[in-house]
Amino acid sequence: MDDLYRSELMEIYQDPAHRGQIINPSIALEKQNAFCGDRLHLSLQIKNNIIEDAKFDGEMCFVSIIGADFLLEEIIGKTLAEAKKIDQAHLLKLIDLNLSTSRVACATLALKALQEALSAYEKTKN
Amino acid sequence: MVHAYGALLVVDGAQAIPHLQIDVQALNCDFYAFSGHKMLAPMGIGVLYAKAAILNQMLPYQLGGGMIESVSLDKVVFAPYPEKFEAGTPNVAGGVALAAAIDYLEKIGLAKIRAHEIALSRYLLNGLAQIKKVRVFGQAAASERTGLVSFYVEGVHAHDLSDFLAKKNLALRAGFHCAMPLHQSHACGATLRASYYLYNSEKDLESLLINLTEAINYYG
Repeated sequence: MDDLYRSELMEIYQDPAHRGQIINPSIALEKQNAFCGDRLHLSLQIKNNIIEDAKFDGEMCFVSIIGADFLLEEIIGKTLAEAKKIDQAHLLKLIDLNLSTSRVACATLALKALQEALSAYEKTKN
Repeated sequence: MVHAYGALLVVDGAQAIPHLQIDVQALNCDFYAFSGHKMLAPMGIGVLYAKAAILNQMLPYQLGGGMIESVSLDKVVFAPYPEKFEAGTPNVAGGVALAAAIDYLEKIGLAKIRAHEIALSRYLLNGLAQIKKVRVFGQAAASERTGLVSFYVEGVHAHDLSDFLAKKNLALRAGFHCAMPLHQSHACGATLRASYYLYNSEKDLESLLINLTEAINYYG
């Protein structure tokens, strides 16, 4: 099979490191991909403007899970400002998959959730 | 019943027309619409049938060249239908191609095409029933299907399967197929839809069954 299903990705898909839900998170939200009905729950633990922990959960496809796990791996330990800078191009480069246009939406579901969560978190602080 | 209440009957026949012999007068529908691309014509062309009495009463929804009989500063007389509904530059190539597609299908014969796709439906339904974890959507028998079967696989996402199958030259649609509430009522996520027509053979479906089994083993 080609790069979309590389064996190391298969391992992540079967047991993603950042799957789960944080108890008493600083912020949490749910985001849906209307195209396929995938549902992602994202929770963040933030302290002194640093993302100390992040977890995702939900019913998701292979590409959504890979996108979410890579993204959370990237943001844990980063400041809010650094996390906000991560855009679609950055994430797609991280996961390094040859995706069709329709599946870019799967890969970036977690990113959209993160961006919404960060702005919602900022609103609670202001 | 629609007419008994003074309403008009509009039929979206895009799915039926490539597969079934349709007689709009026997249906007694007021409108019948279908698109060309489901019956071998290109995208961007379709047909809206309406009863003559209704077409005579209807006003144009769009203004443009080639749709009037006469215009003065304070009066317009529209051309009779169909011209009054065909404002501006028409999609000539689409019209010619749709006519060619209809001629082509009629030459082969809709009954022959229908028998072929029912045989394919039977083959596919039998094959899918033998693959563990596959759940076929809907109870319709082969003879009641218009060349398609929707299904899902327990524990494997439809989009992951469609990507896998695409790499084996099998084009299946994955998603809700414009019927999200129906999927919710079945409490399942996205489904896969195999659709086939006169140009498909049992060999294509055999390839689908083999590769689907491989995909399920791969993700399982």
